[in-house]
Amino acid sequence: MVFNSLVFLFFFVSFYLLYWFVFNKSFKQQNMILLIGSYFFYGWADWRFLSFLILISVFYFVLGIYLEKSIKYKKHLLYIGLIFGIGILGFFKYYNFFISSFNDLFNSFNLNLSLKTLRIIVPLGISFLTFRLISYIIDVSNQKINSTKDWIVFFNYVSFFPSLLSGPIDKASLLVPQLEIKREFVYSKSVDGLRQILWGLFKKVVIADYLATLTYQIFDNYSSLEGSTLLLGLFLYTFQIYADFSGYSDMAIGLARLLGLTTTKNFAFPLFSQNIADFWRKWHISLTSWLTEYVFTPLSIYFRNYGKIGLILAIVINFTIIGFWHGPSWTYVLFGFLHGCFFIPLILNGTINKRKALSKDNLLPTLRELKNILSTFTLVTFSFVLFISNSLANAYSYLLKIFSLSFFSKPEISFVKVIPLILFFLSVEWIGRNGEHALSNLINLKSRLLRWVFYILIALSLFISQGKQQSFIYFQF
Amino acid sequence: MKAFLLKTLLYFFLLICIVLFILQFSSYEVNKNASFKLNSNPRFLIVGSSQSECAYNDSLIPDFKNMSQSGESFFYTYFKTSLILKHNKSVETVFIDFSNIQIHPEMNDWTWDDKHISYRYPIYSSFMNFDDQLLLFKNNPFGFLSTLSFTFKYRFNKIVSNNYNFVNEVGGYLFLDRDKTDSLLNKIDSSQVEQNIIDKKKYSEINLIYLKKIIDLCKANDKKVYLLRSPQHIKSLNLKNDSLYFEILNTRFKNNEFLDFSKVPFTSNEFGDFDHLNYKGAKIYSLWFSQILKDGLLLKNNKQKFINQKINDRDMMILREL
Repeated sequence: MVFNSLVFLFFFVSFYLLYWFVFNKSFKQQNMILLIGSYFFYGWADWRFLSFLILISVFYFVLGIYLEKSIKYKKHLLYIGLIFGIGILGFFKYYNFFISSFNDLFNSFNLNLSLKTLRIIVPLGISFLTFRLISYIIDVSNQKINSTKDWIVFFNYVSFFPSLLSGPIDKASLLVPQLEIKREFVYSKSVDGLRQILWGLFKKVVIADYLATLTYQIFDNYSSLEGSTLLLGLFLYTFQIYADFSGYSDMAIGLARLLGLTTTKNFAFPLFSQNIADFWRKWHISLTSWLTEYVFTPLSIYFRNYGKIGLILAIVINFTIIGFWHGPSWTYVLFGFLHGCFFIPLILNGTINKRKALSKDNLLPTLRELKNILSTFTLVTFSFVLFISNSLANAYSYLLKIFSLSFFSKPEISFVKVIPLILFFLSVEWIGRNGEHALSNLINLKSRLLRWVFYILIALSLFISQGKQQSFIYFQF
Repeated sequence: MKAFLLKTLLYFFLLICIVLFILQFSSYEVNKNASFKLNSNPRFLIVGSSQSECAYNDSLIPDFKNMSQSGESFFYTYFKTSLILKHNKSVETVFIDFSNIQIHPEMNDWTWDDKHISYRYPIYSSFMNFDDQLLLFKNNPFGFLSTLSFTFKYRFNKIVSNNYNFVNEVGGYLFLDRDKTDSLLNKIDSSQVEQNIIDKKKYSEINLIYLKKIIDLCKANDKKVYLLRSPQHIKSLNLKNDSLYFEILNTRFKNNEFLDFSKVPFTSNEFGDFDHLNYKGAKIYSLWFSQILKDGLLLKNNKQKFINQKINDRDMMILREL
């Protein structure tokens, strides 16, 4: 049940009415219906993993309580929680990767290990789910938060349906306190939530799904296409993956706001980033801030005696983990590693922490801003070749093909239709760059008529663009 | 809360009104300009699904037009036939391919499942009345609503390109260039046979209702109408339903003339699979069919006897040698 489907619309409307009109007497009632809704949503996607979701919730709920109480075994319990969480993720997502990598490694020494891979069905949203649980027990262990004694609150935190399958990865310190009190309806929050959903849908249905028809055509046939076409395909993919994932996040955040809850912001207009550090402050924020808190900070403390080298090490390890989080493939590992390396010049010249904020009121970026935006965008775009390739060899030959003589030939696929679409998309994002999301400042537009015309036009474009539904890219992660 | 809900409802109401207006307007434009005029002026028309689509090579049969299409249920055939008859006064006789598969419950899916509705609804929706649309909506509401966008885009393309000719997209002879019957023969198992035996209560009622509507439509337009069964391989799993098939034929369509060509002998390599003649079989069959039409099949009192006689003649052998 994806957010941009009619089934979800019917589900959410029914759920919303029950949530605000029937089960609205106390936070317990609200939580009960929220839990039923979340399990229904997850079960609809794959009912076989519902029991997995419940069992894992029970385990961490009990662990959290004991972790808080225990003084003597605190560390042991924390390790159990960490090993269990990482173990689950490792088994479902990475088991086959490690086995085949071991086999390959031993084969290269002429040793036939022949370890068997398994046919594993990966539970949906497992990467997001386990990170959420791990952050909970670390925060309880560090006494940043108290463990919750209300199992329904905890189960809701684990399975909160708007962010269950593809994030944002909410920390317990943000979501649990909100679940422990009754949610009140706030008009402005709800309207803004709807606006965010509308823009999220536009990004997914109109931009990402349309671009997917072009990019997948290019990536599937890259060996027979010209370098110029491949380059354009790569640039379009950057827009596609941003529109796809940030579109999903906007919908998730907007849905949560409609239910009176605030979740973590996940994107802050990363296409206008001034350098790579700025990019990672704006791209998949919930993941980067999670890893910053639980991986990078401890690592940088550990390496603090090594000066800049220590910082580089901490960043490179942190980003390699970010890359590996995306999936069991060396391409993702290299993607993360490369991004870590992109930080090295910033660390060496001491500009890593200097924030280059975009001018707030300018209608257009300054030349200097534009230069920075374009160079960061190009750097990120080229790294995405590792996202679209299923092996390092493929990524290499894709890049090689781009920089062949055919780079100077005319692209074989017409991109004329795409240009106005991307220009409109970028314009709206640029104008809205100072807000929580692209349309949040639309309220400042005085004419209600104009606002409504804009909303209607966006919705009509959704209706017209409804085509072959592409699944969300980040569902695979 | 009230204000929020009212405004949201108003927004959706406005949106739905605009979408309905766009759909209605585009439907009106397409309906007004649509052309189903066939290039030739055929006297004979055949409609149906893939069995007839692959069997009748209309370039070999004078005054004959094959407008069958794969995967088409009688629900859609009804609109197609109606429009072809409206735009082609030359048609005197309509053959409707009524093969065993037409009673299969799968015909319901051919009418309203996501795949079929998204392909056919955009083409025929401009010619459907409210009840027909309601039927689709009731049986697959999500599929129906999802296809409205395709429908608008389809009509929009027609309007913008000023191309309202539907003939090339609604049917025609299919040159089937495959020969996998022998390999299929080795794969038949009893479970497949069982799957093809239709429960008496589960045959596709909607397909039969629309078949009746096509027959009534032809009669109302003073056209001669015949049900026919195209050649099928002796091992065709669909033939396992013969008893139910004939029960339906002899009760619900007993007043209609039926021409059974299913027993016309063909070798396995003249079939693409158990239910479809390939181009080799279609060539022989079409020439033979053309000949028996010329020999006055439709004037005979006992047409089936005439067909059976012709099957036993040496004609087929001669045609094979051509």
